[in-house]
Amino acid sequence: MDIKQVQELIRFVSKSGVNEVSIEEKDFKITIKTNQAPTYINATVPAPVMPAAAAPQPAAVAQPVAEVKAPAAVAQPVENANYITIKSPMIGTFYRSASPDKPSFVNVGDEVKAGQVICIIEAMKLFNEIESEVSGRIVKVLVENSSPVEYDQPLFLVEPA
Amino acid sequence: MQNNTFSSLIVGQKIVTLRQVDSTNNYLKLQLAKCEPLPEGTVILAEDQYAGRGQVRNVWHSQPGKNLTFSILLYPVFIKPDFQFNLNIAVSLAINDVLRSIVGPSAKIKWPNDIFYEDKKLGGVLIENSLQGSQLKSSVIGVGINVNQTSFPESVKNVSSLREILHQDYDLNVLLQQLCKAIERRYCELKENPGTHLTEYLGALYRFGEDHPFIIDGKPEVARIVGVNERGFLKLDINGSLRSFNLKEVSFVIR
Repeated sequence: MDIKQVQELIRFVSKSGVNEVSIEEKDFKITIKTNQAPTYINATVPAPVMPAAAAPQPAAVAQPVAEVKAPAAVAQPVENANYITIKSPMIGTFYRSASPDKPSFVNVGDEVKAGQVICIIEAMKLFNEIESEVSGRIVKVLVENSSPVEYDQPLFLVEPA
Repeated sequence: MQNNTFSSLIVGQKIVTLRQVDSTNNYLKLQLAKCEPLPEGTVILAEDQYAGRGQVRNVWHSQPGKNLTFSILLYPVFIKPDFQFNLNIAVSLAINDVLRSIVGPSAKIKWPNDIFYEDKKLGGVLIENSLQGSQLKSSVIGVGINVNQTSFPESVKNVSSLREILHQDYDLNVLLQQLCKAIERRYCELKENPGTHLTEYLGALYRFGEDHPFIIDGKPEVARIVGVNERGFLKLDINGSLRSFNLKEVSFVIR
């Protein structure tokens, strides 16, 4: 979970009216307490769920075809169920642009077409340009530029056109 | 079912020679992006590649007309993206096959894919794949070999060329034909049986099985290469304990 997701989580918790939220992953645990009336919700996210899936963003758990793994952690609005998750096809390093001085391939809000390059994943000096399989709008970028990614880790959320 | 590749795939049957280009990989990728129907095995050869790339920021230094810089187009749709290191192994091994036949057994592959002679770099490989979702579509294999260049920038250490080793020029076209043939052979073997090359790759690996200094976790450490796993991680024996390393987690100390 990166700092942004933690911030979002804190905002989410403070708005939700609960007193305390604990989230535990394989090697990560976070507890957020508020000064409100004591209501306890304890959500344990099963490994190997990627950081993004543990975030309280609704869309992160809305996987179109695959089974939804995270239980109970979030009760979500229906509107996001249609988002498509683009996942990493390999272990490697995620890059949002062709080189540090170039603009990102895509940003949140951009319309993408099937076949359009959306990121590069480098694995052992092999560079992989990943093209989107769907046309739609980028809703969320789930991984920071230049950070390591695991096989099958969610990278983007796309609202199909 | 896959045997037709032997008859249909001829690496280097179509060769496009460019007098000058920034990078043959870029040129080939641009052609692909324009939906040019290029046959598998197409070779783009540059007499003067002025911005050839190593890893992201490393620029490969090449004097015009002295060296071999080319890219090969392959369509390795049979490779699972997560196991694409096998493609790197096949290509590195093919280049090593050719160089060993020219300069002898001191030609080695420095993990993961530098082309070495003794402690000096002779060339490199840059592979750029295109994937639709999780399906490999095409692969651009960039190869650069120092052939007849004899002076190198001061800043570049541990570098050599065939000419420096052989003390005579080597014909660039002959070398290109040899490399195309070897890459085709190794690529067909890979298609028949993925994973088939690992033992040979280890056998050709620079500093395999010997104690040498490395930089590990930022500090110098003597270790021994004992293997490479299917995703390309380098397995080191450090004072009896085994650890696997990703590309940026370890570096060789060379003299």
